[in-house]
Amino acid sequence: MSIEVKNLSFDYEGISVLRDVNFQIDRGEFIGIAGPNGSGKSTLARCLNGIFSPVKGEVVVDGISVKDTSKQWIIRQTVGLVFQNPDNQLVASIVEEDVAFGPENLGIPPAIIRERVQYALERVGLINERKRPVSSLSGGQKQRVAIAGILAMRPEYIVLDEPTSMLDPVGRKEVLSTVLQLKEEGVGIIYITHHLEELVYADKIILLYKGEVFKEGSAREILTDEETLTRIGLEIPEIPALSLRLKGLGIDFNETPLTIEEMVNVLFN
Amino acid sequence: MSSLIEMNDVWYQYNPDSPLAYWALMGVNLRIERGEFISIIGPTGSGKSTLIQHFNGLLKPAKGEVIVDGVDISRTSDLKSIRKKVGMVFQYPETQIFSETIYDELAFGLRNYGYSEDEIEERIESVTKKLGIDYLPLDKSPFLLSGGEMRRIAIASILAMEPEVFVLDEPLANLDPQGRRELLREIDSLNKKESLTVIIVSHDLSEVSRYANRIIVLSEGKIIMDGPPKEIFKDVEKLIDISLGVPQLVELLYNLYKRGADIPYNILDMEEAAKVIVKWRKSLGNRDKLRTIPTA
Repeated sequence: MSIEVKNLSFDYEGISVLRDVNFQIDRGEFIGIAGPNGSGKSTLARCLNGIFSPVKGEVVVDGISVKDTSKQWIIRQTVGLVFQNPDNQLVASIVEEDVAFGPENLGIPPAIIRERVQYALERVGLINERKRPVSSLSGGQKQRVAIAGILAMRPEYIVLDEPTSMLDPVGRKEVLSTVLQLKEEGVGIIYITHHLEELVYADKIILLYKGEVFKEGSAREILTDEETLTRIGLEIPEIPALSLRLKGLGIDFNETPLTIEEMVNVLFN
Repeated sequence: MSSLIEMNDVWYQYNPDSPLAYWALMGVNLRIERGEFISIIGPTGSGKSTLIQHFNGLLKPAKGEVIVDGVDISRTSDLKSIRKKVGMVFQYPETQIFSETIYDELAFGLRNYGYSEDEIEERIESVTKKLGIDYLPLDKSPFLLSGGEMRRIAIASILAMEPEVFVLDEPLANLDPQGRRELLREIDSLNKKESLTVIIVSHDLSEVSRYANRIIVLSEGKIIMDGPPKEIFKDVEKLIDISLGVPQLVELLYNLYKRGADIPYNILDMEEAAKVIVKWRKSLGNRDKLRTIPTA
């Protein structure tokens, strides 16, 4: 089971936004997509569950083309989207009501909805806040409510479009660790960001630039390629950057450290 | 000459006399001098926005006094001149853009203050240059611009008022790395070349701390740290304790230190950090040089 993106192209009113994008993501995989503003990241996100239909090429979700409008509901349920601004995604005033909104629209019986809301809020660590007004939550908590709302639909894949860009450092960590846990539970994660340090645990990173795949590779390959990252207006994260400086000064690494933990372990060996 | 901004034992309460009453600022003392580049840092809900809204009299203290360029904001009837001195750029300022052309957007504040069209034109020319947006067609709609450009227009419209102090609330949020770097450099050069006093509010200690000459850390309505970046980073533990992000470099150095490496950890410069680590590694050959880890 996977999402296959094949030769995907997309135009906005005659302006080409995505050109010939190819990749595949399996359930349980974590793919990072990074690129500067205007590289087509958000458009790509919206192509993955059929909000935008490809102008050329195909997006196939577990065997179903997103172009098949009769299967739209199944696709939207299979591929959940989480956006940048949590305030724009929450519809109800109480946490549990917001999480129930999606499944209610699917016409699921109330007893099952209750189960799903419970499940989703447990997954994101907000079960104790279920009765709280959404407005009293922090940014990180709100974004986790948005994720819970998606989880309550039982998706196989979640696409997150810069989910942490409006959050403080604590909120960022909360969202990222929630996402990593979902990956462990078999959900496919497509994580779009320009904070590259959030992608150190990705199975694969795709760099988008001017609507095309500029480069793709493992997290270690991409996050240590300072030249490429700088060229497309991104920034190498601090730890990989330091690793490269240390290499230049004669410290040998078998594998270039990406995280603080890796770096500490290597340096103490 | 008095300080540009002076706060003496400032207290502020939201929803007073109601069950929802709470104190957002509790006994803040602060002096801001001309020409400083200050970064105000604090986790969500620490009182940062409440604090800066006192700088131009949008909020007035429940107790204590705020004096801007010699004028007490609670006593003056002329807040207009204070708001001209203190230029305030709020979060996501591009959402406040409303004019039909870029020119009108930039001229809006100036017209309100009664400047002549000649003066307005001159100021717009100068301010767009300073922020690197002089290539934009001024007769076009600001709504057709990219997010980064709209952000700059909104910032430029405040800068055109030629304030003495420029206060920006999270100006880098949502910009990509290159956009962040460029905008920060432009703000820095306004501080260095035009000696504009700059105050940037942020919830992390990353980029801005490399430019600021002073960092003020707020937590639960109080100033808990105030000093040059190098001093602030000496107390990493405290920063992490109040849920502030510290630069990864500092966190790494601190972790090495905790495991016994004899190195300083308040280093913000990548090259300097690399040299310190290499030097320490060389000394590792001799185990005696490992700092003794205090037993817990």
